[in-house]
Amino acid sequence: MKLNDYLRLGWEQLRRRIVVTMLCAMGIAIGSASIIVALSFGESVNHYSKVQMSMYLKTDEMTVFKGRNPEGSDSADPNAAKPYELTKAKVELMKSLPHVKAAATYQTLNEFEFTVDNKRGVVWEIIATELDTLDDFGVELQQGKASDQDNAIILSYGATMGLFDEQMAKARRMAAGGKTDSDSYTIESWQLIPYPMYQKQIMLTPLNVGNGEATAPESIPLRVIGILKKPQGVADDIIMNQKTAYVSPALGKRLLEIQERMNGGMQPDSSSANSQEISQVRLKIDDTDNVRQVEELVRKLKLRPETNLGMQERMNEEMAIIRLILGGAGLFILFVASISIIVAMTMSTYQRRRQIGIMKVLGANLRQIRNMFMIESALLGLLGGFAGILLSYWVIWGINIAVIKLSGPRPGAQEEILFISPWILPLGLFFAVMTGIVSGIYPAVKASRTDALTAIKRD
Amino acid sequence: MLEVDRLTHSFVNGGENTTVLKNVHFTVSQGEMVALLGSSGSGKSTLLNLMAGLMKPTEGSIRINGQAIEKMNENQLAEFRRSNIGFIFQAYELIPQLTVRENVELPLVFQGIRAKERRAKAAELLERVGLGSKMEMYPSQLSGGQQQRVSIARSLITRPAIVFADEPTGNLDTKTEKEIIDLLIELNETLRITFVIVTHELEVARRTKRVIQLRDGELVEESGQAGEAE
Repeated sequence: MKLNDYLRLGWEQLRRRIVVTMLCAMGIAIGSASIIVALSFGESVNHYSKVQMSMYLKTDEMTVFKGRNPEGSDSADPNAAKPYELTKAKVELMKSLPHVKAAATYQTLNEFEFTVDNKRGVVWEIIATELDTLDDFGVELQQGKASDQDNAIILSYGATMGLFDEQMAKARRMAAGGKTDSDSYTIESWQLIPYPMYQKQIMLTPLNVGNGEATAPESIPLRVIGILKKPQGVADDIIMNQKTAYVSPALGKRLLEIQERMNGGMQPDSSSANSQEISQVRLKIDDTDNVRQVEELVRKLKLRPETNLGMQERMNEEMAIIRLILGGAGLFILFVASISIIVAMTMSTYQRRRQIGIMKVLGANLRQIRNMFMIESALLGLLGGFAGILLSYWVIWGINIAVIKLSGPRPGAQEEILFISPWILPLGLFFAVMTGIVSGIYPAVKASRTDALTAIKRD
Repeated sequence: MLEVDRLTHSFVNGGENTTVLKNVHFTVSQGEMVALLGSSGSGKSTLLNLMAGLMKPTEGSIRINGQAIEKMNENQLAEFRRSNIGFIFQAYELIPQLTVRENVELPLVFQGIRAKERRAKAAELLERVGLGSKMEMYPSQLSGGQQQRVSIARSLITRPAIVFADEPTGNLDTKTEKEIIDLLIELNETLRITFVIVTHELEVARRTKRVIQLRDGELVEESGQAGEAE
């Protein structure tokens, strides 16, 4: 008997018992949709986490700090050998390590404000690093390019957003109904508007951290030589808080000195312990898989490497647990659905006993009868699987709509929160068909064992 | 062609041994049309089921084309029936969700014959039984006589060595009964296929060339003419 004939006969049977077929297919559809939604949920969360991690916790990067002094404190002799120090020579050595794509010194300076065209803005974090390495570290510029010129700064897209203009603010408040100055903070549309700052001169001033004997503000004129690309798929209200900037190490040193002067010689940030030392070095590794290997080599230099691999592994473990739980729920629903198929197919076996008997008399053997029922239930599974795919798309679409409605409109945010990866669809279909086949085994064997003579006898 | 050799069949019913067939012995030649006549409970249906391999005899042997069917297992019997035996049922037993043509094709489907070849053979036979114009109809759209014609076409589609007809006119009126018997006689004469017709109706048996009469499980008379058998 040909596969086409099995399929045709099976389809005819399903078509004839349309109500039973639809009920069984619905059971399978709910089960397979649960699996698809569960996997998609896990996949979407995983994807979202990866995006977040790549944005904040770059797993193919490594931060290197000076090593810990085994004696507990530095020697009194300033000329004594300090093999655990982070030196320029060691930075050069690290650059030549296998799998290291780039190395750059790294120093963070916190909280500056700037003025441009009578507008005020802030930069929460300035990173002093070799600007020509930005590209190696995946920092992409929307405008301009990195250069070694003095007094140059590269701003993040977020740093150009929401510049405060006192005149405009007053006019807006008047237009809003004469409301007086209010401290209540809401994200207004103007805060999301970027201001064109490329090639403009800004006056950068450290914000007073409020400790120690503060002196008069000291500003430094800088030229904006580049603007970073706007992050994709991230809501504007998140981007506007990502106010960072890049400067050269030399400029970083000057800014740190100004900061120290303004704070009366006090250390504003622990990451910049001594302006003469290299506090951190960032390494770019060619692949996440090689990070561990480089980490070992860096340790041999008596330095202290830090990566985000541990965090990624923990996150992956958590994701695996979430996927397991949701997948398990889907499998349980499929199991329940399979019972409905077993019941329906077994009932069908009883209802069609006479037909099975006739087929046996006409020459159908055990295998052919068994296969007929198996293919019928596999078709049922396939129908359920396709319905499950449709159902899962509706569910995902519904969840996305609900989440977007609940969280309110966020310009620039990724429209699709949950998505179905193409590889999940055949998997959902496979589970549905397998449910059909496995549930069909018992009825099929039962049907094939029907005694032809008993079946065709009429009472 | 068909050899029924000292066939005895009995079963235990309520602790009592009941013998349905007692030492039945006869042969049927290739191309013969034989009526198996008997009243209700005479054992004619049991004999038909034994000859078709649907039951195993207690004693004796049945050979069709030299093959002892009582020695075959279920799958061998299925294979054998598929190629050598045709069936015509009293209640036609067509598959309601298949068209007339598909019903006729069904035995060839079990043989794994290609659809094109099946279709051609089914069309030819349906033309022959006068249903060429109703091939794509469903059984429920046909009269009883037409359904029995479909059943006859289905029994012949594999060109079997022998066709067993179990009360083929039992559900039909007199006029249709005559038409069906006429058709069977015509097919027997033209195709030279052996027919064994089980019936309790003397009128039907009288139309065949040979009658084997059963009474209380025993072959009481065998004659060349139904009239003689009576």
